[in-house]
Amino acid sequence: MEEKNYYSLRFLGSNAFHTKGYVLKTTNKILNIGETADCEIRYEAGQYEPELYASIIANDDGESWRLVQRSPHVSSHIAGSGGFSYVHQLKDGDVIGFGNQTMELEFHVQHDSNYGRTGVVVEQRAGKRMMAGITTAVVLIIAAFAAITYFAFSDKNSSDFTYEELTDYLSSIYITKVDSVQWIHIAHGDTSLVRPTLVMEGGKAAGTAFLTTDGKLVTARHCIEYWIGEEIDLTVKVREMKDDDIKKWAILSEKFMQEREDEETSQLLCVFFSIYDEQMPDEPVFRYRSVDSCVHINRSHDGILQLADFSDDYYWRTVRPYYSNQEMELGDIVYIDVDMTGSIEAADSAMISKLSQSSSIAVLGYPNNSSGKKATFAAGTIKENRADTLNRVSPDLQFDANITHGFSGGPVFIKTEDKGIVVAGVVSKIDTDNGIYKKAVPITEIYNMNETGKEDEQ
Amino acid sequence: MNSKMTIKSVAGYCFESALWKILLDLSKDSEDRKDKDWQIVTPDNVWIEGEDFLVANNGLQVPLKEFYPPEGIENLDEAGMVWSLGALVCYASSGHCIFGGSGGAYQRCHPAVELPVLRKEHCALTPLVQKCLNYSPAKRIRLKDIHTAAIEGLKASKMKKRVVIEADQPETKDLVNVSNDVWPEEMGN
Repeated sequence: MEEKNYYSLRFLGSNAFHTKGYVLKTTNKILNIGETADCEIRYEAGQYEPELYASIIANDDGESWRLVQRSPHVSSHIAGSGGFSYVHQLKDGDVIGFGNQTMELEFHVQHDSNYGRTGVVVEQRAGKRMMAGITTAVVLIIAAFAAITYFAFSDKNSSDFTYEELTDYLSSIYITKVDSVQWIHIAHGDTSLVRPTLVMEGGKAAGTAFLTTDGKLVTARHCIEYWIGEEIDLTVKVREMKDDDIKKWAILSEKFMQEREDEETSQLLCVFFSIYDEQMPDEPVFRYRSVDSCVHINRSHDGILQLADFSDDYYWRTVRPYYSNQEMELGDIVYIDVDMTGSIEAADSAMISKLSQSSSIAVLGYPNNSSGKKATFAAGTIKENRADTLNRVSPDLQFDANITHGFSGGPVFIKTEDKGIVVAGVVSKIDTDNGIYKKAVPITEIYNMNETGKEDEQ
Repeated sequence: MNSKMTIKSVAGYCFESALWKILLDLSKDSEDRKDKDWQIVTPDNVWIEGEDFLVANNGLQVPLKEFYPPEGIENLDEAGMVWSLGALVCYASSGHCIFGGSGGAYQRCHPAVELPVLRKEHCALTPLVQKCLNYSPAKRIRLKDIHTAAIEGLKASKMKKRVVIEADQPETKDLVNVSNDVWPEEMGN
């Protein structure tokens, strides 16, 4: 049998996934170490997003290995020789450690007859160790489930809102659904369809809307233009996208608009959407097109993600893009002028500015496409008031109510001394940076909005 | 085994701030360089020393043609080095040479070829890299401007770690509900 070098890693400590003294023998071309599911050597993830720490990679000769740092956050180090920034040539006897994790790995180059025909050395004790690992994992899952249950059902916020207080407003809460998206061509006032129907990814988008006392039907912009804020795979060329990819058409229409100098001709994505009452889930109360003059879409935070010049495909209008973090930022609001009034009064900026951490809030919405049922109630508290539009590009209110998909566009109620219960914000998104908080756009944004998106670009 | 580590050792596995550091280190002292100092940077002649990326002296390694600019290396100037630097960052990001390994020779034959776009994790560097790889030497970004951009990029790339969201919530960027229902009837023309 061919004898080649392979390497072993001895675990000098233990954690949920590995036992002290366990020896992993392998010739893997790439062996990942970290917290992610694709790591052969797995550490427990803490409160942060799981990370890949480092990889052991075979050199070109196939019989020596290097340790490559994969994370800017969790440093790798070699006992006795300290840390390294990017890569370390592994030597027999190296003891590898990561960040503050206590478990260390002892690296040894092996050369004996255990080298398998396939190049992978089978670890004989794997079955027993695997059972121990599975048992430990089951215990952890049960513990995690218990913890989640505890936190989900315990009274962790001090909101003094009750569902009964909001029953007067239920008649002003609606469901929004996108019916179709069409690509239209407008030339000198005449409209024609370029593509009659664009198939949407995943089906219909649905959210919540509400009607104010001054006749504004308010929702989140991404409930209508649901592709806004979606991450774009920039490695995919427009012509390589699938025919049913809505982003393709959004990019193409944006590109067309960028290249046209005359304002007499334009090509737009037109969203047809409907507003439903919970009493009549099958018959829309209103139907609109996003290009209707009564539909006011906040484009004040739009920017152009410019990755090339005008001759290239990479054009995209999105909401305040950041290259490394293309999350939707706020300004995520739409209102429609309607010929009726609701019961929900909008807060003014003075009321919103008084909101402080722990101020009570409540949200009404239709989660998980729950049309035909009463609006769902969720109470919580303000976690951060960042509605100061003078100082912020994207004013928002952060809160901690237990909400999920479908609440988007729903009202965030607050209590005021002067006017009782009023709406302070529009539910927008989960803040993935800060984890548990949700964000709402201050209702006052509807008075600040710039629908063209041009004047505010910087 | 030569234990000297080069960019080749980390190509395809770099995180964003490492790429910015490559640009930062290889663009420094640009004002002090004389004509003979311009050189093609390739994975083999950029060494990793601790936290720094160092260029080996001219002649120590034969430059790979994959990193030659489209105008060639006769009368190599700053623009030529900038082009190879852009190609090097693409290589460090992906582990592959640009233009299928044909380098600037391919761009010379196809001046309008689309410039590479770095993968999602490194897309912040794409505009800068594309300015390095401009077909026209006169239109390429200057080294000192790369240095300035790299300082900012390095600073911006030091992101905070992201806290895991609630375990029963899918990681999603927004709260819009997307169902798989059939479409309603079409509306109007």
